[in-house]
Parts: sequence; C-alpha cells; structure tokens
Amino acid sequence: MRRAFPVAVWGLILLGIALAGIALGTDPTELGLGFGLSGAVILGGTTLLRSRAAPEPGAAAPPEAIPDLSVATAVLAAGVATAVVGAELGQWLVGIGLGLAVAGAGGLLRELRAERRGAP
Amino acid sequence: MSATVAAPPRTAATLVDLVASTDHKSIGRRLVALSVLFFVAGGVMALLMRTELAQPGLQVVSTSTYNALFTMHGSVMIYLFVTPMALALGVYLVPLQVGAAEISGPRWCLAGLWLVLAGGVTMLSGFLTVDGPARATWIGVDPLSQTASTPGMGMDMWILGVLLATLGEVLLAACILLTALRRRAPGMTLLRMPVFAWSQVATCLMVVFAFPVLVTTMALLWTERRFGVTIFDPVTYQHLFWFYGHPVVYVMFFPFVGATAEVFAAFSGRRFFGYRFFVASLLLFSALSMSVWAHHMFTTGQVTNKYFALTSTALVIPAGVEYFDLIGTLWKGRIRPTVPFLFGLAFLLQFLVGGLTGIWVAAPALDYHANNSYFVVAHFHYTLFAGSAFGMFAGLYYWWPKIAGVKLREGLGYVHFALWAVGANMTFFPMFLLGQDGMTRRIADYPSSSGWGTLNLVETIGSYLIGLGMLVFLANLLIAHALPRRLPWDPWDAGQTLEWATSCPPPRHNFDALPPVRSYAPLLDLREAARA
Repeated sequence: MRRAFPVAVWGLILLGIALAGIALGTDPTELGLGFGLSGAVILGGTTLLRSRAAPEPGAAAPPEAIPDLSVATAVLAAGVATAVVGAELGQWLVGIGLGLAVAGAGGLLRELRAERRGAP
Repeated sequence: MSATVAAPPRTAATLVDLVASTDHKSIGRRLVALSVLFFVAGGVMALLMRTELAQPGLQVVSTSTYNALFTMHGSVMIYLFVTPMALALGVYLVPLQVGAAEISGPRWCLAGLWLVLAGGVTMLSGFLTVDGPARATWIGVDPLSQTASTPGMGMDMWILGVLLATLGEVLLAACILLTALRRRAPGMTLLRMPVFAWSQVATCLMVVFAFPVLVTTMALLWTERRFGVTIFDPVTYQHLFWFYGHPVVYVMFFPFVGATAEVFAAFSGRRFFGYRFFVASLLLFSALSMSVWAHHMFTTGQVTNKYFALTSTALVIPAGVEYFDLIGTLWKGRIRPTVPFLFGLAFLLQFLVGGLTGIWVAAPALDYHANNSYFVVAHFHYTLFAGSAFGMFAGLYYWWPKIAGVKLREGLGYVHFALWAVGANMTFFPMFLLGQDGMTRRIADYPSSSGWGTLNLVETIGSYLIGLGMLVFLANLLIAHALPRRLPWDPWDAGQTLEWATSCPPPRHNFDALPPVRSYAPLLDLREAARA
C-alpha cells in the first residue's frame, strides 16, 4: 500500500482539479482530458498496489540476479526504431527493423531463461 | 538493500559495455553525454539565429533556414537535451539515493536510452533531406505541419524522431519511478526519501502519464501526412499537444529544483527546511501542471479561459512554498560559495524572474497582448535556461565526482558561472522589453525603423558569452578527466544523502554496506551524532 501512496494522492489531487472544471464550465474536450488523466492515474496506482509484492522497507529482500549486459535489449530497441523509421523510408527498412526486433526479443527470452536458471 | 548476485567487476569499458551495459550508472553517464552533445548542437543553432538578428537587414541565413533553425533549436533543446538530462540524473542518482543496488527494470532503462538516441538521429536527419528539416516550430503546429504547408521528408523524420525520443523517455521515467517506490533501503520510508528523489517522483509521474499522449499524437500526425486523412482540427491538435507540452516544462524544472535543494542543504550545512511541505508542494505543483495546458491556447478563443487562468495562477502556491523552503534552508546556514552553490543561487534568482512573468501571461487579458511576442520568449528562456540550465549545472558540478570519479576544477567553474550569469541576463532580459514594444517571435528580420537593433545586438553579444562559457565547461571536462585526482567518498565533505556513502564512482552493486536510515539526511544524522 505504501509504495502506491504518492500515486494515489496524486490521482486524488488531479480528480479534485478536474471536478473544479465542472464548476467553471469547461468544455467536453477539457473535461475528458482532465477526468481521463485522473482515472488513468488512479488505475495506475491501483495496479501498482496489486502488482507483485516488493519487500516493504525494513524487510529482507530476496536475492536477485542482475543482468550486467543485455545486447538483446539494444538489438530490440534498434529494431523498433528501424521499423518506425522504415514506415517513412520504405518497407525494406521495416522488414530489417522487424527482423532485428524479433532477434532481439528472442535473445531477451534466452537471457531471462538463463537468469531464472541461475537465480539462487 | 537487496542482496544481489552481481557479475565480477569489469575494467575499461569495451564497445559491448557502451552498447549493452544495464548498469544504471553507465546508462546515466551515456545519457548525460548524449544530452550535452545535443545541447551543443542546439546551442550552435541559437548562435546562428542570434547572429541573424544582431542587426536589421542581415542575411546570414535565409528566411526558410531561419524557420528551420528555430524549429530545430527548440526541438533539440526540449526533446533531446533538457528532458533527457533531467531523466539522466534520475537514472544515475535515484537508485543511489534510495539505497538500491540497481534500478528497477534495467533492460527497459537501456532500451529507453537507445530510443532517445534513435529519436535524436532521426529528427536531425531532416537536415540531410532535399527539403530540409522541419520548419513547423517545436510544436509541429497544425496546419503548418500538414503536407501542404511543410512538404518533404524532413517534417516526417521530425515527427518520427519526436515519437521515438518521447517513447524512450517514458521507459526511463517508469524505471526511475518504480525504483523510488519499490527499492528503497531498509528504514527508508517514503518520507525519508531525499528531496531530489521526491523531485524525480513528481517528474516521472508527469512523464509516465503525459508523454504517451504525445507519442500517440505524433503517430496520428504522421498518419495524416502519409495517407492524406484528416484526424485533427487545429484546436484539437493543440489540446493534445499541450497536454504533453505543459507538463514537459515542469519535467524540465523539478529535477533541477531538487538538485538545487540538495546543493543548498549541503553547502549551508543545514538539514533541508520544510521537507514535508516541500514534498506536498511537489505533488500539488505537478498535479496542477497537468491541468493548465490550455493557457497556451488562450488566444484561440476556443478554451475555458477562466478555468485555465485559475489553475495557472494557482501554481504560485506550491512555487511559493518551494521558494520559502529553499530560502529557509540557506537562512543562518554556514554558506560555502562553491561553484554548485553559485549556480543554484542563480537558479533561485533567475527562475523567479521567469516564474513571475508566468503569472503575467497566465492572465488571459495580458496574454492577449504578450502572446507570440518576445515577452513569451523571454519568459520561457528565463525559466528553462536562466532557471533550469543553471540548476542543472548546480547538480552536475555537485554530483560530477560521484558520476565520473573526477572533480571539475573550481577556478574554471567560476569562470563558466560568471560568463553564463552575465550572458544569460544580457541575452534574455532585453527580450521582455522588445516583446512589450511589439517585436514578434519567430521572425528572421525586423525593420531598422523599429529601433530594436541595439537591444538585439546586446542579446547577440550575450549569447556569445553563453557559448564561451560552454567552451570553458567543456575545457574543464577535458582537463579534469585528463588529470584526475583520487577522490574520497564525499569530496565536498558536505553530503547528507546515501549516494555519498559509497565510492566515487560507486561499484557495480552500488553499496558494500548502508548506514542506518533515520531521516531524509542519513549522513548528516551520523555527523551530528558523532559531534554530540
């Protein structure tokens, strides 16, 4: 609960500000953006609250494996960027980008599996 | 602190390290270096513009090139320099400040870095296209950004570059935010987090919830241009853009006010004053900043002026609390006028000028006069440059020993500060006067009969002083790194927070051991206990 507290507080402040917009006659676009934002924040905070539990401060944290290098991540990011730029420059580049992204994603899966095997 | 299984320590960085290291410290350093490079590029564009405007009738660049310059200058500075730099400091420092061994989601963080670089390269590649780079302002204002008004691939590459860089920034911010919320050391409750870490929480909340709107908007804008469909009308585009565009200016402010707060506490020898009020003001300030976007649209006549005037003016409340706390920290402190302190002090004074003029333009009646004039240009340069850039250097000079393992030379730092303090005020203060007198922004020339020539020349000279100051900083970097001196864990002998409880730079796992955390200034607690 505590780790979600700032997000929840922030969401409530945003909700209050959006409610003030009703009193001052804001138009549907403005109201939509304001309430949409506060709703997204409150939802995000709720998701964080219900997510996989992180140790509360003071509790002993379990050991975890930390990746030192991740070439696969760099390849994946490069693939995504290349595919996006390829949307402008041509399908051939989209193909290269998607190929890199798939290679990167595959490499990432291998890294994650190796981490799980190596974790104490 | 998490017990970790870390890889054995590495020696000199290899190419693979530069590409693929997931160490948040390495990612942070690379992002700082990238941001500085983009800053230099944006600065060169600024000097070209100032040279063009130095006197009426000069033709250093064509009108079309000038349009490209102000577009790309603003774009580089906002999307590629200040925002990534703000997040770079968070990536490097937040895990250290909260006592974590690593950032949350290190791979996402690495992906964010590469997306920012890819976005920057894509955006700037517009200079290599036949029609040149984007010329539709840093906002990509509709309908100027439509194909009919700005044809050519350069505008498209700008759109995709903004999309990629912003996506990268969302990933970086999510990692920082989750680190602060989930990886704090034993004993570090939320209200024992350092003020800089809290400033990063507020910053990253804005990034995570506002920046995706820009990513979507850019994707839709590209679709409009590519397929000739109409998705936005100009007002709707502005709503969507400014929904990101106002929070981003606070993203470019909060980390540097947090850095200044740390610097003030360290060099006044006092605990930060009014901590809880400061934290509350950060959350209120960031929430309000998400609710004021349409004050950039007062003159469209299509928004609820009174609502956005109210929310915009309300910003003065948390801003006032923060200023009170910063001054309270200095009050009766044992001030040490180090280079970071001087940059922080200049931030405090100069940002105030920008902030007060913000109240001016938050009033619709006054904004109708000032809109699109040099008054607005002066306002945001006082907040973003004379404010945030000075706060940034306060942080960089303060934390450089921790980041790079070397201390920048104080003498050169004072020279840098002096050139910038004079140069920034020479460049941007006359713009208030020119704006009030009617000089419009985004013009490549002005009539000699206007009488604006003298002030423009003063501004141009000021801008060259800023450029000179930047050269002094770069020289300082080279000298400090060429002739490094061995550093203690806390070279300032003033650090109050956990990043000073480890070596310069820290080991891969950040800490061998952590001191007890009983407040937001654990090292100050230890020093006071030792004295008692």
